[in-house]
This record gives sequence, structure tokens and C-alpha cells, in this order.
Amino acid sequence: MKRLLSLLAFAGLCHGAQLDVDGVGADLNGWSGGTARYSLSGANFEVTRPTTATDANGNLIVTTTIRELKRTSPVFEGTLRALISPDGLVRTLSIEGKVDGKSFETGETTRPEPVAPTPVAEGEDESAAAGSVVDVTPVNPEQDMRNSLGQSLRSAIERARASEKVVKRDLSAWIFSPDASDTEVLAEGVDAVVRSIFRRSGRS
Amino acid sequence: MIMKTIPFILGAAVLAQPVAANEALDILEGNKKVEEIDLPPLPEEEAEAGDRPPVFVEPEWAPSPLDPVWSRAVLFEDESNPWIQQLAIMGLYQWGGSWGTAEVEGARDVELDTTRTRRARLGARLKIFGNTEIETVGEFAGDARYQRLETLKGKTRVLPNHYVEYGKFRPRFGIEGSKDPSLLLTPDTTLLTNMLMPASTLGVAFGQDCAPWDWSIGWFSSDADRYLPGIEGNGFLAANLAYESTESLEGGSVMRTRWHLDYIYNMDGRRSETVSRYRPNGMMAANGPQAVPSYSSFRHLFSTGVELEGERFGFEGDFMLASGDMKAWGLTVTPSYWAIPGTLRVVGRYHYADTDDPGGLVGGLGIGSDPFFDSSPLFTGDEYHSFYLGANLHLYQDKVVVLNGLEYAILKDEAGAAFNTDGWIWHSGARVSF
Repeated sequence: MKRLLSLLAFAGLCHGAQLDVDGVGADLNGWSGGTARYSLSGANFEVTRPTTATDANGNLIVTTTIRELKRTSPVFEGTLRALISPDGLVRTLSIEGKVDGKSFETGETTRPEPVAPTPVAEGEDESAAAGSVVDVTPVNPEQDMRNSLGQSLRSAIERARASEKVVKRDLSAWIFSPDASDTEVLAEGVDAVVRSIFRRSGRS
Repeated sequence: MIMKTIPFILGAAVLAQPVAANEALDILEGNKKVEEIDLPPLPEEEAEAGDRPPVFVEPEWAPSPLDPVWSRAVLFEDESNPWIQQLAIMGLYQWGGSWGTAEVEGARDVELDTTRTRRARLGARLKIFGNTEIETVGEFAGDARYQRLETLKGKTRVLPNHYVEYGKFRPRFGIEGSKDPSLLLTPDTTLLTNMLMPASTLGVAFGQDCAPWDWSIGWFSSDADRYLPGIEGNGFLAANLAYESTESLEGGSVMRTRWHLDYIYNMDGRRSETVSRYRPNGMMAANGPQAVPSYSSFRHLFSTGVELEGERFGFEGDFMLASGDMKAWGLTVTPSYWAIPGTLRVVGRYHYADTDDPGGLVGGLGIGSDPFFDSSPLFTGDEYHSFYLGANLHLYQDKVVVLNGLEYAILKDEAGAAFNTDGWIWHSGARVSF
């Protein structure tokens, strides 16, 4: 009996977060040589096959790099990092990289937690508290995260582009490497990967 | 007691916030001026962050379609491999030409029009065991004396920030002499650098990088064998000390400053084949019918200078002094400016060399300015000035560069036979490295 319980407990521990990497590839035209290529709004993107690692708390850390390719040159490159908790939910997202040679970083976007109802304080008018509307759970936390990341990414890219930091651009880059696409297009290209990660992440 | 203290602290904290908020409102309403407000001290971490020295981040290169081509020079790379972390091939091809005339007072002018392959190097770099880098480079340009095994050295990190270098390599001396030729801003090194720079030879050096200081001390052989030098004579000692700092400039940019002091003690005097690298004994000078004075050796060699590097502006200033059988000294000032960052760099250079000995300065003009390289016409004198202004066009990073520039050189021979020489020289060249 004890042995059976131990096995069940072990089986329980083995459950954890997982990412269907092949599924992500399938969403983005399939893996070919470690990368998948897709086009959006006239821009060509390349994403590397995600690498995964598990931290001490059982969270799955997913890392992948998204590039916009123009004449084979990566004019935009962003490394997306997602943390999937053991219950299979994407908890945090962040992107850092370079656009037209200038570095950017979005900071971390976290999953909105459901808001617990506020307990009615002693002596407070219960009818008044009951009358106030409390939003207990977000309507769509994944959509919220995608929106929030997209907003951070747009802002980070715009900040990088506006910065006066000098970028050395040699003659070959002037001739053969045009600037990256509009911020909106880049955000759209990244969102395609984020959407796929949400779709293909879960619990084993 | 604790239960009484906590509400008191919390209360004080809560009360402090409205005070600041009220003052902010007073400023907005115009009732108070900003100067009248006593701002609370910054939290400790933020205050410390303000005291931190600025960090110089070298401007990055924009992506280029040639990136994947050049990355092929790295044949293998795996940082997690415990045995071999990297295997890469290295190469440098430099072609150059110079056109001009050296006008000699009281003697025939010397034509300097010539083109040649100045450097053709091929080698490999191996990173092993997580702490050792082995590098070997062969030189295939120039005459038989110049073609050689330029470098065959290992560098092993033995303690945190400490390292040992061993094998055949050139000790650091002066800014130009310590720089990889693929990164030189001008077509070639200056007259005094060529005179004083030691040869690549067998040696061992121990050093430490402990920012902002770094230092090294080493022993090197006096044998200048083209391939594998052995232990010969007492050799020479080389010591280097450098200090690096950064400072913020107006507009928020950061500038890196590096000061250095290099010293060489040649224990073999005239018997040394490595300090200096060449012996023009018995050769005839091109400026007038005069022989190049017999070889003079140097015992003590000093170099001190400063390098400044900003996002667009760069500056190198180096003073050198050598004493032994004779004394020679001089300075080199090399400002540069990225007119188009990454593409076009304007480079200036002023070089001055002097000695009290008649014909004590020996060197070439134009593309053959380094007498160690080949048997180009040699000029002698006792005071030298060179003004160079050029533009470097970077086709691919610092790896494919076209160099063009105009030089005006004056070599005075007042203490000697008075064959003063001057000339305008046009330089054109290209350099490819990987």
C-alpha cells in the first residue's frame, strides 16, 4: 500500500508544464533546420526552435528568437522568454533584442491574477459594499498578457528607434540592409509566436 | 513594545506622503518655488546608482548580409564543451600603394611610387579547457626575411583575473606597436614605432586584469628566428601598466580613457636581435650619397600615452623615449572622427621623432615605411615630422576597409650631411581580415 502511494505521489510530481514545440512549428509553417519562417503584412519573419529548461520550482522556461529578415539580413531580432508554471499557464513574458542595431527591452509582463472579493469590514454598511461591482476574474488573461506585451514591445521599439545612440553602419549595411519594418508590423510578427506559445502550452 | 512601535512608524510614513504631495500642489499652483522645497533623500540604492561610474558601451554594428559569411571563420564553437570551446581561422590581407616624390636638398629626388602586398597572414585560434587560448599566425608577404611565423602563443587564465602568456609573440610596446595590424587607422606604423618596436620572439608574461588597472611583466628572448626562436642571451624584460576610466560627456554620451606605461629593459644591448627588429648596417641611404650609420642599440625603452574613445571621436597620443648607445624620442597624435558612423572615418596623424645623433633616425617613406618589411629606400636624419590626413571607408565593419590619405613628411638631416628631405605622398590601400 505504501509503495502504491509512493508511486502515485511520484506520478503526481512528474506532472508539470510542457510546450508542444512541434505544434508551435506547425503554427508557423513548420520547422526547417531549426527555424520556421512566416510572413505577415509583407514582412518576412524567422523564429528559432524554442529551447526549454525547468527551474527549481518546476516552471518551464521557454526561450526563442524572432527575427525579421530583409535580404537575408536580420534587421530586427528579439529573444522572447516565457515562463510556464507547473499548472501549464504562461505566467510571464519578456522580450529583449535589437532593432536596426539599437537595443531594446520590454521588461516583464505578468499574468493578471484574479482579484479576490474585498471582505466587508466590521461596521461597514453591507448593503453599500454589496452594491459595488467587483471584477473577480479577468475576462481573458491570455489576451490581456498579449496586449500588454504588445504595448510594451511597441513602446520599447519606439524608444530604441528614437534614442540618439550611435549605431555603426558599414557600407554593406547601407546598401543591402534596409531598416526594419514599422513597429506595428514587428509587434504583429512577435505576437504570432506568443499566440502559438499560449496555444501550445499546457500541463503534461 | 514592538506592537506599539510598528503603528508609529507606519503612521509617520503615511503622514510624510501627504506633506510631499501638498508641496507638489503648491509648486503646481505657483505658491512655492522648486528651490524652496527640501526634497527627501533618495533611497539608498538610487543614491548609490547615481554615484556609479558611467559605462562605455562601444557602438554596435548594424546587421549586414555579410555577417553570415564572416561568421564562417568560426569553424566550431560550443561554450559548454569542456575540452574545445572554439576553433576559428584568422586571416589578414593588406594591399597598399604610395605615390609621391621625396625631394632631397643637394641630391637626387627619390620616387616613392610603388604598390605591394603589405601583409598576408593566415592563422588559427583554438580555445580549450575553458581557460586557454592558443593562437598561431603565419606571415606570407614581403621578402624572405619578413615571411615568418608571426605568432604561436598560448594564454591561460590561472587565477581569477590573472593570466600567463607563453610562446612566440610580440610584447606590448606603445599604442601602435601593441595594436593588431588589422585595426590600424593609418596605412602603416610610424617611423619611431618601427625603430623601437621589439620583434616577435619567445617569451613568457604574467599579468592581471583588475579593473580599472591592468598590468603584466614578462621575459623575452634575444633570438629573432623567423620560425621558432630559442633562448638566446639574457633577453629583455617588458613591463606594462594601464589604467582605464570612463566619464560622462554633455549630451549623455560616455567616453572611455585608457592610460598606459610600457617599459622594456634590453639586457643584451647590441647583441640583441629583437630590440630593435632591424639592423641597417652597411646600407646606403636614399637621401644623398651617405651610408646609414652603424647600428645603435637601445637599453631602456619607455612609452606612455593615452587613448580616448567616444561614440564618434577617438584620440591616441603616445610618447616614446629610448636610450642606450644613443637617445631617440618622439610622439604620435592620432585623432579620428566617424563622419558617417560605421562607414567613413576621418583620420589625422602627426608624428614627431628626434635624436641628437647624426643620422640616428632610420626609416622608409611611403608604403615601405617599415624597414623590417623589405629593402625599400632607407632615409636617415635626426628630426622627423609627418602629417597625415586620410579617410577610411568601411565596406564591412573593421574587416573590409579601404584607406586613402595624404602625407607630408619632413626628415631633417641638420646634424648629419644636411641632406634634408621632404615630400608629399598619397596613400591608397585596402585591408581584408577575418
